[in-house]
Amino acid sequence: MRREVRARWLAAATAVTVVALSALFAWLRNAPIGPAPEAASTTVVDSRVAAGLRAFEELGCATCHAIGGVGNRTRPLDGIGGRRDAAAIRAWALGIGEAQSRLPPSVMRVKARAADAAELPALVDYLTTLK
Amino acid sequence: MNGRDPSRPEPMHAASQTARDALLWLGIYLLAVTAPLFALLPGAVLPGRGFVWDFAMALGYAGMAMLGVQFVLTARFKRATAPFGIDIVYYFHRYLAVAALAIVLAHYALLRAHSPLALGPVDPREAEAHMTAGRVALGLFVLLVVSSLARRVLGFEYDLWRRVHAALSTVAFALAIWHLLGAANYLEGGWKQGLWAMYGAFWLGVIGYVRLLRPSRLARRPWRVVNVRPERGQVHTLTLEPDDHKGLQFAPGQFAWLTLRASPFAMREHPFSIASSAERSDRIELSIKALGDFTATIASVRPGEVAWVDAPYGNFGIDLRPEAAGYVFIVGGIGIAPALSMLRTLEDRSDRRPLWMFYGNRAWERVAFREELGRLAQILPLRLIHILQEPPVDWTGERGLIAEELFARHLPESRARLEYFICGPTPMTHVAEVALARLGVPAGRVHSEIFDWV
Repeated sequence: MRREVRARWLAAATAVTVVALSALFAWLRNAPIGPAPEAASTTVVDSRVAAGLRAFEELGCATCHAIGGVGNRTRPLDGIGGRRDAAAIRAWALGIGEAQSRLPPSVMRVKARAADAAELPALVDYLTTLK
Repeated sequence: MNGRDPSRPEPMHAASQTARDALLWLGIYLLAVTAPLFALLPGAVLPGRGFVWDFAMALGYAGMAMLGVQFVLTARFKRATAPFGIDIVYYFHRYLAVAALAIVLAHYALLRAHSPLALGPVDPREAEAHMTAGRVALGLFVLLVVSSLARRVLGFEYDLWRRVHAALSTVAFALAIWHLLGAANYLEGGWKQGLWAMYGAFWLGVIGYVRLLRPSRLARRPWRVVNVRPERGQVHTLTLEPDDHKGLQFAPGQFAWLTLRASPFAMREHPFSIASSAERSDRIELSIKALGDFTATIASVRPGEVAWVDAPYGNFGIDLRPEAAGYVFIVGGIGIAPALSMLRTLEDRSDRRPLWMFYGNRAWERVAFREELGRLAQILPLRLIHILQEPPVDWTGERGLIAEELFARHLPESRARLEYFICGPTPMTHVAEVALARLGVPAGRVHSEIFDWV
């Protein structure tokens, strides 16, 4: 059936175009354009904060959490240093203690990966400063 | 144009314009699907979150928009469907549903693999409501696609399926909108959230239009059954007349959605080709063969009953190619209905161009309209070739199935200049298309319509 085949090709071409445009969107969002936003805020950024932010990024925390609006805003960590002490923050970051009863196993597994990370102390240190 | 009143509205597009319009509507489609996504780019507060994350998000948004357009595709907007033919649009709807589902599943799978934490707990008691809404919507979309593609295998009755399909898709879409607005990635800032909320509202508005506004318009234009005539081969012809309105302007070969013994809001409509002459708008005839649940009830319809007619639709017929040197109709079984409309119209227009009809049937006694075709062959320059699979003993005509050799024998040397209309079962259509191509007929002159939609 010529017409049916045509409809099928049309749909396939449309789907491929949509996927390609989605990829373009993702690429544009991640392309380095101009100075990085961090460079714009020229307030004195002490090395503790810089290391902490780097750890936040490298450990993939932003997948679920946000700090100052950066990251997944459904679970902000702003002010966490005022609510929990360093030990509790560390326990939550690794999914041990109280976190165990409050989070699903899939989340626990991902959190456990941070246990051996060199960035962990910098992260905990930084989070305690968020008051 | 052969006596056609030029002041009458032309219900079909001229062929030259068709390709251009088709491209235009395809462009509009792609824009509708991806523009909202790119509208989110400028002034994004957050930096990129890595290619995979943003790609997964984009797939979610684009998949959502594709699913929204699905409602428009089957909303039967005449201008948007005309350049393609509505049968193609329904097929497009079907294949796009599979593509959109794949894209939405990829959105979920990428996130699951890349950042499972972002998905949160699965247990609906712990999960955020909008995440549960997303999961349920995904499940419903899978159910929708499976129940539609496998409807016949599952033995799902058509009317019931249609209603379940409409209800499920509306609920799934509303849940997906909730999920999108709740997850709200990129939607920081009121106007972007507002944009997508408007987008969602627009699609829900389309549903409202299709389910409420259009039926209420139909309800104001009732038709009356004035005659029910049995024909050969288990076919019944319904004659309908407008009840206090002007009737229907259509082109020969187009079809109507018919509702009988139900409200126009009930979604119990079925598509049938119009068999009567397009030169008469105050009376239409639908010739229907008893093939399924609904068509079997036609014989019991009585004059005086009310009918609802949503028409005209379809991009198939002689007025698509008004300048043709001649027309050839290749017909199997009840595919005779649109061809009959074209012949009757040509008769009313006193058209003198040469015509051929290849009409395949099983048995001579069951050849619908064979007497009327005989009459038309006396008036029109029509060569009528009956092909019978089980001919009577004294049969001297063609036998077997429609085949290339048959066309070669009956069509003139100038056959590449004629326009061909094929209406019949899918295998016959396929054979005829291949045969005509081998006889040197350009593909652009061969027209067929898909009858088997759902």
